[in-house]
Amino acid sequence: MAITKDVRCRYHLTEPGISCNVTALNRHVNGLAMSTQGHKPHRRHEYLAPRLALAAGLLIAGCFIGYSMYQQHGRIGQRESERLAIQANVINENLGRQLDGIYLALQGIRKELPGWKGKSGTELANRHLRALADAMPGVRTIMIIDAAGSITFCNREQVIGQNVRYREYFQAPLKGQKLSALYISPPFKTILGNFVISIGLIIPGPNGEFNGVVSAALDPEYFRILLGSVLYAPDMWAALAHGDGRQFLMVPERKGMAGLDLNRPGSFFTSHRESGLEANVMTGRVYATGDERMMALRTIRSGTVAMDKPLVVAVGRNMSALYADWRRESFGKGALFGILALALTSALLFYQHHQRNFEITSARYLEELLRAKETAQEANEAKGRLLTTVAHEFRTPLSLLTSSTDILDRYDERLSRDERIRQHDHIRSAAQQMSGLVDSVLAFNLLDTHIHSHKAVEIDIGQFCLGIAEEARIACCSSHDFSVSIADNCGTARLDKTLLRRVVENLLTNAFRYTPTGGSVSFHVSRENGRLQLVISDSGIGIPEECQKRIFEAFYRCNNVEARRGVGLGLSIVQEALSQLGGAISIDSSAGKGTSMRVEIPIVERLDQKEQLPCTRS
Amino acid sequence: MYSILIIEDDPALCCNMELILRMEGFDARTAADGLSGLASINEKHPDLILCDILMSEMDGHTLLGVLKRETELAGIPFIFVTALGERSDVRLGMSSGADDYLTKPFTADELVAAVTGRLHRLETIRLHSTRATFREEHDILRQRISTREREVLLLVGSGATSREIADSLGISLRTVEVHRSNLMDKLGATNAAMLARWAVIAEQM
Repeated sequence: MAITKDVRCRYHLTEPGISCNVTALNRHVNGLAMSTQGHKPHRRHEYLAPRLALAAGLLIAGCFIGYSMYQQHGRIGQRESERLAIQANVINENLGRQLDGIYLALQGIRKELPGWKGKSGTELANRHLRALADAMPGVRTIMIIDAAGSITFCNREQVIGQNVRYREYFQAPLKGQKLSALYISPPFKTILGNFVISIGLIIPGPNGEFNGVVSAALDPEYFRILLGSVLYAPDMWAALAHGDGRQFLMVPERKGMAGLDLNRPGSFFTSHRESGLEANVMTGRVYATGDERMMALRTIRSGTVAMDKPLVVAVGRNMSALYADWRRESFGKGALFGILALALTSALLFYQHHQRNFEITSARYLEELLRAKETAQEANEAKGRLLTTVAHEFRTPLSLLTSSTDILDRYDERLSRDERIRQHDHIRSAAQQMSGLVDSVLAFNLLDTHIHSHKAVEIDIGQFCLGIAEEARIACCSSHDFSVSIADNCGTARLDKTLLRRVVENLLTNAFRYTPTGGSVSFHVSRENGRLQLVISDSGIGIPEECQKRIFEAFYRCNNVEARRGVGLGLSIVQEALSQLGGAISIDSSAGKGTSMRVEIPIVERLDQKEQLPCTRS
Repeated sequence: MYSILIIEDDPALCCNMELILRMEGFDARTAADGLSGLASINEKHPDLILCDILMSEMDGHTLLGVLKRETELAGIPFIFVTALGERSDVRLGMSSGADDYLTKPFTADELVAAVTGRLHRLETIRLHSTRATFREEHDILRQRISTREREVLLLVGSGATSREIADSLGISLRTVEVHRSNLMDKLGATNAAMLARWAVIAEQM
């Protein structure tokens, strides 16, 4: 019936499945042995966002740095080309003035020439020429060549008389026939071995016909100094070339450069000439030396006189040297950026990894705590139920106590002596029941904390057991057949009284409680091989096989107890006490056929059997 | 004399309850569980049943259910005597048809008062159904009983304990006891239940 089940549920503290052992709780919390139950899948997008942000940031920074470097590169190029152009122009201006000066000098000589006749004229001419050559540092030789090509006058007397008819500097004016033009010869190797350029004017005859050339040979050393003066960096060089393409000189000097024909397709010179501009700045591969250069080229002409061929000056820089600083800086910045990026990325990854680990660990820890909390709650509820049950359990002995004292109060005179004695027994029994309950609760409490103070004392086994049996008989057995037998060899032993009492009391209480009226309970005590043997049997309801393994659990009561009183602690208390005593218990029972509990407790054998200590009252 | 059946599995308590009721002038029988209780009821109908709830073989509720199904047994006053004292338990017991509910621990006073109260009601029903007139009894009451004693008598009839009577009348417990014993002497009642019967008659007046 529904009501009966309800009632049973109130008193049964366990449903199959719940084990409310507080020791388990402690184990749980203290041990923290974890079984991984799979990770909570970490939220991918949470980790992705910072990474993307970092990548974007690095990308932007990188682009910014790259762009600024690129701009700087352009600026460097720009600035350098400007500077080179300026330098080229310096030479242009200087050389232009020089050329003007030389022209004036040559013109002067041309005018004076008719006056230099005769022997004194030669002396005069040479002196004049010497004076001019000395005055113009860029000029090495000034000579006057007659119409046949022989040197008539010269500042260097040793060359006078030589014929230079086939020289270019003679042929060009001879062919050109322009009186007003200044003839610039291509560079040529002199008798003395160095490359020079000659600048000449036609000496006109009386009728304006070709009558010789007055020519000035430029001193390459002087111009080398000039060119060198514009160089401001070690990789710079400057070169001077004839308008047709022959290189005159190069600073810093290099073997094989003088006289080199620059008029090749694709060379700077050619490009400059083809551009038609007076000034150019170009970058590219130099024909002469073969490396990447930036060059400013300038065509030099005299401002005052028409030159048959211009001069071209080039000032250049090595590209790699030009950008050396920039490269270094770029590299440095790049390296720094790279290191920074690496550092940030690895920091982020590390942090995220750490975060993930932390989350996983936290999740696990949380699970652990939740489980421990649940266990704690269960244990708490179990204790709550225990308290309620114990309170209930108290009511029966209390009502016995109350009614007995009431009876003695109200009907004392009318009671027979036997009846009065019986009431006193009732009171005593009630007190004992209640004390037993208290003990059970305390024992249960101590079960979990494992605090026991062992006090082994010498006890007379037989008397002790008889005493407990007698108490049990008064308390429970008015309707049962109870037999007690104590073997002769029990003697005495050192045992903890409290623990032994617990074992015997609880087993006897169970035997009586679970045996219906009219049944029988027996209690045998014996001693064998250093072991105390207790056998408590009853003809009661028995313990079904399927329950026997769980019967020692706290609060566990098998289904066949129906509405019988009981908390379900007795056997767990017995087991705990036995483990403290080092003893063991075995069950022989089946449903409906009674139960037999066999307990063995090891007793330390005393070495000297002769000395028997006096029996203590149990 | 009223016969009362006590169904209680705790032998000592059962013994005590029997003793109390015997001292109060009732004829008390006992049974240790539901089944033997039922057997006893069938053997001879008691005037009132005191029943524990938590017993083996057949518990109190089951027994009550069985009784309610038999017409002759359904009318017997039925009092639960039990340790289950929660309000829900009481309501459950009362709603299944018990006449009263006594929670352990109880005093002898409470036990007697509960029994008396139930028997008084039983008497009321019986007397009403028999339609007897109690002219003689009315005379006795008018002549021998004082006003105060009458008040006490009526309260006893309603099943109040001595303490309750003392409280409601504003007199001491001792005085109540004196009145009770005087009433029992004057009316020739040997126990509280008989007093209750007199109370019924007094109420009719």
